[in-house]
Amino acid sequence: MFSYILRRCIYAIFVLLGVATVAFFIARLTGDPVAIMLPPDATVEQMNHLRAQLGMDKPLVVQYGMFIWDLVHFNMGESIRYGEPTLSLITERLPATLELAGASLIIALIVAIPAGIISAIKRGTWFDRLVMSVVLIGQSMPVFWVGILLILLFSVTWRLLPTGGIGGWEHLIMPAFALGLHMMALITRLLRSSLIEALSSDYIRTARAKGLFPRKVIGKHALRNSLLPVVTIVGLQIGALLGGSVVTEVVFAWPGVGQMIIQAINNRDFALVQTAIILLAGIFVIINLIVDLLYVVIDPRIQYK
Amino acid sequence: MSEPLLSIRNLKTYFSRKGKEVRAVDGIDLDVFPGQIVCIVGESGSGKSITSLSVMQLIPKPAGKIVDGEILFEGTDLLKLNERQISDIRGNEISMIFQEPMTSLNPVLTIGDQISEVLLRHRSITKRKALERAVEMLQFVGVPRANEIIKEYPHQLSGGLRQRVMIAMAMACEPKLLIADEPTTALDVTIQAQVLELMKKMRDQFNSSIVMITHDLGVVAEIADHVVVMYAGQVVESADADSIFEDTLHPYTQALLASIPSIEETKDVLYSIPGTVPDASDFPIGCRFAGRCEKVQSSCLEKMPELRVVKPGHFVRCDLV
Repeated sequence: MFSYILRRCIYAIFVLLGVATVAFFIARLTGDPVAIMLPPDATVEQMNHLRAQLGMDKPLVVQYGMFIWDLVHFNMGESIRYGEPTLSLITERLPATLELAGASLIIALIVAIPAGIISAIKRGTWFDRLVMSVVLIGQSMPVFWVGILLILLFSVTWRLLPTGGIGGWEHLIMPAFALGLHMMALITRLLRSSLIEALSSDYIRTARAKGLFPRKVIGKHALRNSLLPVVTIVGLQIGALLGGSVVTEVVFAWPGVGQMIIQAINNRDFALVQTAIILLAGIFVIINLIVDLLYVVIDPRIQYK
Repeated sequence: MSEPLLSIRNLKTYFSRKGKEVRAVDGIDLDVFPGQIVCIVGESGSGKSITSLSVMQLIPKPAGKIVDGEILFEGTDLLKLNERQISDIRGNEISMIFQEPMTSLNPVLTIGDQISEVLLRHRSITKRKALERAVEMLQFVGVPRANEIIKEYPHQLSGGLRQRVMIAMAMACEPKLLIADEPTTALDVTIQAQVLELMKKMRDQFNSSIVMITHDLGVVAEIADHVVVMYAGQVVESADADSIFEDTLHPYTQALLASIPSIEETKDVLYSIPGTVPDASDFPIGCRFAGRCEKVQSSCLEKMPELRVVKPGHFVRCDLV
């Protein structure tokens, strides 16, 4: 088991190097930062001077080599916009993003787990049909649109909740719901179908033949067997939540990493974009490892060597 | 003989499939006396498994429905009980074991957990006592290293061991009736014999009655006190085991016996009953076996024969006998 975790960590290094490479080249496709930083009437000499200062006068391959060299020394560079180390800029804003993503996850699971279970048990009834229709709508609506609708309804029309910004729960609830809606719909559907399959299996017939109460038959025997796909998707969806927070944070003016990434891209602040992407990818890799380790806890048939 | 433990009268269990009514079990009568081993024999689709699931009321809903009849267990009609009352009987007074020990045990729960939970459900007993009892039961059914097995999972055991675990689980509450739905079909022959021995031992130890569902006449010869032959949702012959083998009366039972290869004679082609079982949503009005019967007469096609006594304790559904 330990050697498995070690091996996965070594793989993770290569994954992150790959992500860093992609981030490096794609960031440079957005254009020349010097053109934004200097006023429009700047001379060619002034531009070349700044370019040399930023190390952007060297060939791209050399720049890439320097970037990787710094990276393996844990030197993530400085933001050309703020003049501060990118890592500290991002870690300052990371708690806000994690708060939003965490709240979305909790809201999604609190709704999806009971909804999925009840739909599976009462499949074919009006309740099931209602839930499945809502799920379809939830899965089809993009997060920015849901966000705007929520603001229109709860902030503009009813004046119940603030339109954006960070603060107490009243600031959190709308962005968290908007961000979690897609995951909520996905988990509901997945848990429902997974549980329906489990409920028709032979060991459920055995459990019923033992005279167990329906609560035990479903909660103990069926649910545990149907959790595996759900855990997989929850793990992947946490990555999607972090990605989705980029859009949600902009819609709700939530001061997190996502909003910072958008600004950094607009400013062509390459170092900041790269660091943010590597960090989010790192979180994603760790969550994936945790999910794989959870499999062992859920299903005794799975073992890692 | 004493009063029957289980008495099924005119049981009809129908399924609806694509708007059609499928008469899976169509008017079964069956008696099981205390300590008796009754074998229900028949081809696939004859309704034998549905009969047993009807007793436990584990018919898949809403497709299947018990439309008529009585299932008297110690004089109480099980069909009149509510879900809570029938679940008090399941696993406690009537237990069931299934064909596939592979899939009938829950893959993510330990053996100890799965055996002890039936005791925790039906007896006021602590978890520790239940686990002790689980170990005892496993030892009783001949599972080696029972103390360790209770901590293991089904996938770590062989098919034969799993079926022993199923039997230990079913017998944990010492039920008065054990229903075994093809318990040996998925096992290889040497293990089959051991499991059959074990079931006899269970009957002797706990004085339980056993209803054994099988299509294997070898199993029937091995274990049955009484045999019920089913065909197309009906009982076609019912008698004690000796009469079924020595004094076979129904043409279907005769054909079944003829289709067993014998070790003494050499044949080039094995006998098989021509044709197939009629579609349960579209039974003929006359005898349901008539289409495959070698002795068929024109009267067989016109009127459904009644199940009638031909000799004391020997019932046959055939007018030609």
